[in-house]
Amino acid sequence: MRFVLANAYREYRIRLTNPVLPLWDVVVPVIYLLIFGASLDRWFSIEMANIDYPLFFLGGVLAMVTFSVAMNSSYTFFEDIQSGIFHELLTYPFARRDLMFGRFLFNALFSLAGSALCLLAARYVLEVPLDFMRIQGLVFWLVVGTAGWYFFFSWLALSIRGFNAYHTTTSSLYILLMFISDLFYPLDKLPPSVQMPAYWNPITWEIDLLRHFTYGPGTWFEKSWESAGFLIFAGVSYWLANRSLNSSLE
Amino acid sequence: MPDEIIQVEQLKHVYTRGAGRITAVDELTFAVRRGEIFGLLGPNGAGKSTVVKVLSTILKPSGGRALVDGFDVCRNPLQVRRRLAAVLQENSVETMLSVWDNLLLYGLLHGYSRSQTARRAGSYIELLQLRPVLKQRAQSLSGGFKRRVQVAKALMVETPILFLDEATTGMDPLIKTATLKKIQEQAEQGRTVILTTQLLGEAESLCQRMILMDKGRELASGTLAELRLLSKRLLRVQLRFLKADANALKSLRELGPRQLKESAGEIIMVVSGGADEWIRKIAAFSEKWPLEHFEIHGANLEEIFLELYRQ
Ligand SMILES: Nc1ncnc2c1ncn2[C@@H]1O[C@H](COP(=O)(O)OP(=O)(O)O)[C@@H](O)[C@H]1O
Ligand SMILES: [Mg+2]
Repeated sequence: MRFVLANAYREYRIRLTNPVLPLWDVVVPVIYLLIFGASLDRWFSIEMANIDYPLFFLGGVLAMVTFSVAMNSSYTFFEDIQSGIFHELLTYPFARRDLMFGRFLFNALFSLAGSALCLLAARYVLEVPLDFMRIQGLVFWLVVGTAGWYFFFSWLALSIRGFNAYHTTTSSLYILLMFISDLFYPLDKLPPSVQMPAYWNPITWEIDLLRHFTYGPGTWFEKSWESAGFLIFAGVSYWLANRSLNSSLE
Repeated sequence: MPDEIIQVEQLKHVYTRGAGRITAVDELTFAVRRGEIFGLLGPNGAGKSTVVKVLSTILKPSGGRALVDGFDVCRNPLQVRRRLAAVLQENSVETMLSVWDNLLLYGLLHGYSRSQTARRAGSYIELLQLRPVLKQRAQSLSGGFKRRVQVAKALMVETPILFLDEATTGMDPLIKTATLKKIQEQAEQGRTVILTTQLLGEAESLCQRMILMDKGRELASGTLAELRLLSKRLLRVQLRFLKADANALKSLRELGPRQLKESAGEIIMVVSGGADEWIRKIAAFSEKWPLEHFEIHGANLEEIFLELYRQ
């Protein structure tokens, strides 16, 4: 545990040397929430009879927080490789998973901070009627959501290696995963050709779970299979990330 | 507790990523004894850094076996890492953090507390003269200073094994001397040091035993005395004529030295054979061309190295 904490501390020190970048991770989703939440509200209020759009959108924005915190964290791998410290880190007296979990720990806390900001903005600026009864479930899925994306992007960064190729990949993924999902619109309002891929997008599962714990839609059956789906996604990503960390220099 | 803290047996490493397959280490076998300073020597590209990376668990060997304190680098990498500190050839520092934070973080990541780290770092900050740059971002340091930060880190922790991959490159001479002395001191207290270098003088003054590598293979290994024997008992003959003469140099060459250099009247020959034999030869020679002075020694490492390459 000592080494997990030391690695979390390292991640904290490095990410916060330039406070503007991490702030961006947290501020952008809030801005999305405020702008789209307020403007799309008018459009959708007709179609979504029983729910305010900002409340619907909130789950998506929270997923966006976990996604972007994780994605931006993966860029430190490139900085570490470039400075040479990456090789040296691999000779320190801890297991590779301590390195992974340490960095993840910081990212999880950071996601929670960003999410708290979104929830406050939703509650007090957009005056979304939030009940905080299901807060434990929400925290759980924010942490697991961050884990899934964090391991996924660590794996991608360590296997792609070229900075430019990685940058292109993440930018495309960001757009694809965000838009081919139920982040902005409910699945059944999406064009039919997009519905199927959106249904198999892990971010859709994460958003649905976060929505479930903000205002409670979805059946028990649906939540169970989406939980299982996302946990498998996170587990496989973890396995892949560790594998590429272990073979990262051959 | 076995006497040999590092055992390398027919170690092989092939780089497969990128263009083609490069065999960087090929069937290498050697052992390092507890508490000794062991040298991995060879020209650029010989495979020294690759050996260090395998032993410090960064790279997995493609063949053979490497044990560190009895633990296999593949099967028990964590046990291996707990026993070592490494200065790798890259200028590895946390570029975004200050020099002090670099030291602190290294301590924390090696399991020390803040106060333990501060206590341990103190004397190395003085030794390596890091005090004036302590608050500076590592990014802004010159290569030589980054090196000092790396060395300070590795010296301040208490692992039984220390790997130094060309650690003194870019250091200024005074600091280098002090650092080498400290390394020697730590070895006397029982720390095992494995250093790679292209500077033969450094190895000569520091290493008890060494292995000479070329293209991933062993060229020769042993103590300096053993290497001299291997290289056909090389001797170094140094002389100066009372009066320089072109013919003198010519007939000196006819004695068949393996190497001969002349600079400002000083002649250095590397010869093989017995010292007695060469004393007789030079004595006979000096009757015709009188000598101002004449010395005969065992060859130095550089001369041995050149000779082994020629063989
Ligand atoms: N990451 C790598 N990928 C491919 N080839 C490499 C890599 N690192 C080193 N090499 C090659 O392996 C050989 C040995 O390199 P290295 O171990 O760095 O030698 P040394 O430290 O003795 O200079 C060289 O031919 C070098 O070009
Ligand atoms: Mg090297």
